[in-house]
Amino acid sequence: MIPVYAYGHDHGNAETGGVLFDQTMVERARTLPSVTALGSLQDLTDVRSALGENFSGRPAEGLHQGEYVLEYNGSEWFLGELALKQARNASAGRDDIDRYKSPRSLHLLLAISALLVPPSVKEYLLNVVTGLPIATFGNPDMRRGVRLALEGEHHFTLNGMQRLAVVRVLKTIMEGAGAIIAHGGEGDLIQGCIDIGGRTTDLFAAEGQSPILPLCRGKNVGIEAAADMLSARFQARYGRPLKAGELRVILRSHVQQRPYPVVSANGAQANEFELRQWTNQALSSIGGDIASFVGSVWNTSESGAVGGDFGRVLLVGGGAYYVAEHLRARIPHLLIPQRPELANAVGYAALAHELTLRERARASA
Amino acid sequence: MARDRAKNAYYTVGLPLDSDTLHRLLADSEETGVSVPQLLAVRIADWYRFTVEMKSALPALPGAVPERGVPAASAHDKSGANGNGLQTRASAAAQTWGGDGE
Repeated sequence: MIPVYAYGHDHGNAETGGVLFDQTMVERARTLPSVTALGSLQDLTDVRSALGENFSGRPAEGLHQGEYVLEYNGSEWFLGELALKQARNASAGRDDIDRYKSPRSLHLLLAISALLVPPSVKEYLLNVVTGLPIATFGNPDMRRGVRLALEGEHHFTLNGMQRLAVVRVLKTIMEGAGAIIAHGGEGDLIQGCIDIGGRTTDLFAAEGQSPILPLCRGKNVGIEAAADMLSARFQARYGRPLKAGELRVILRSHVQQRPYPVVSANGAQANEFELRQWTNQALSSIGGDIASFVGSVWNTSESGAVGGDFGRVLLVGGGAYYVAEHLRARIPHLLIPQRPELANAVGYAALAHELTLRERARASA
Repeated sequence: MARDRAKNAYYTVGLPLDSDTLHRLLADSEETGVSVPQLLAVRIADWYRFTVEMKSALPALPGAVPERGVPAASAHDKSGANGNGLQTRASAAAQTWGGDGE
């Protein structure tokens, strides 16, 4: 009998998160950029062999740490950072609402789960819970499409290691609901979750774990809007847009208070001071937009107090790192959990674990 | 005032003439009556002090998940500030959302 794991799958515009619980609820977690591209491991390692060490016969050994190549259904896919750096046609399916039921979502689920399951386990069963944005959750065709895209027996290879993952989707819930499971309060507390991603911000409100639908809303604004603004200013000054990989490193450096990477354009080095200023302004602008959106949906008093009658307000998603201060100004009682980018996936995995236990209890009754 | 290189580090800084930052720095200097070189030192010290305070208020930084994930000794909040813990909330969520897919 193959081992069974509870798995939370959070496929975002910018990042995909996976959380795995084994039967004792020991947790493993991981994120990858939501970018994939067709590629060839053999071609990549042939080029690297030409530059140094010989990897013939052992192509997977030509991969550097943090690089992942998935072979599935007769095709090879570069994933995450490798796709950003080594493939011309890398895609994340940004702004495509069908991405939740796309092959890319499955590819990232298989890759992340394979990284989390112990290497000695070649075949495993995943009981999955995943989420949909509030705007699309109500569509039964979308929920059905997610299930059809992910479920099945999947033979694949990750970095040369063959695996079999049997995937079952136990439930699809609203984005934000996962975070309330993971980090919410107990009992029938009125609580809310602001989930800021790459392209969207979702507001989820609940009494205990039950959604309060009029207060659940989504908006197409996220951190990548700040990246787009930064790239536009860079292009206006230097004649070319910033690449996706450059934007990613600049924003990470900004929030981690590290020196910016060296960015060159037409043989000249971009002014770091200016880049820093533009980044500040872009994040400030988007942070203000998001704060206004939250205020418009959750205003509870004429004084402008936002979420004032909420016992708990969580800020989650990868965007939490970038705009927390803007939201704190409006919502002083905001709570930001550790690893906000994984908050939904943790809750999904916990729900998957609970549903698995209930299934077993019914089966043995 | 003579430079005391045994005590201080001195740097030359270039700011674009048409930058908002330079304009704000000059306005700051005029308003406070502090010379620009002194003000640069003061504002940099302020900035570092502020970011230390912000760091202590923020969660772990992005990209901090190691290669093989983060194995946890136990589930979230089993006996933490949230009271009943992750399993209890998951059980309540199972009641709300149900199972069996759709």
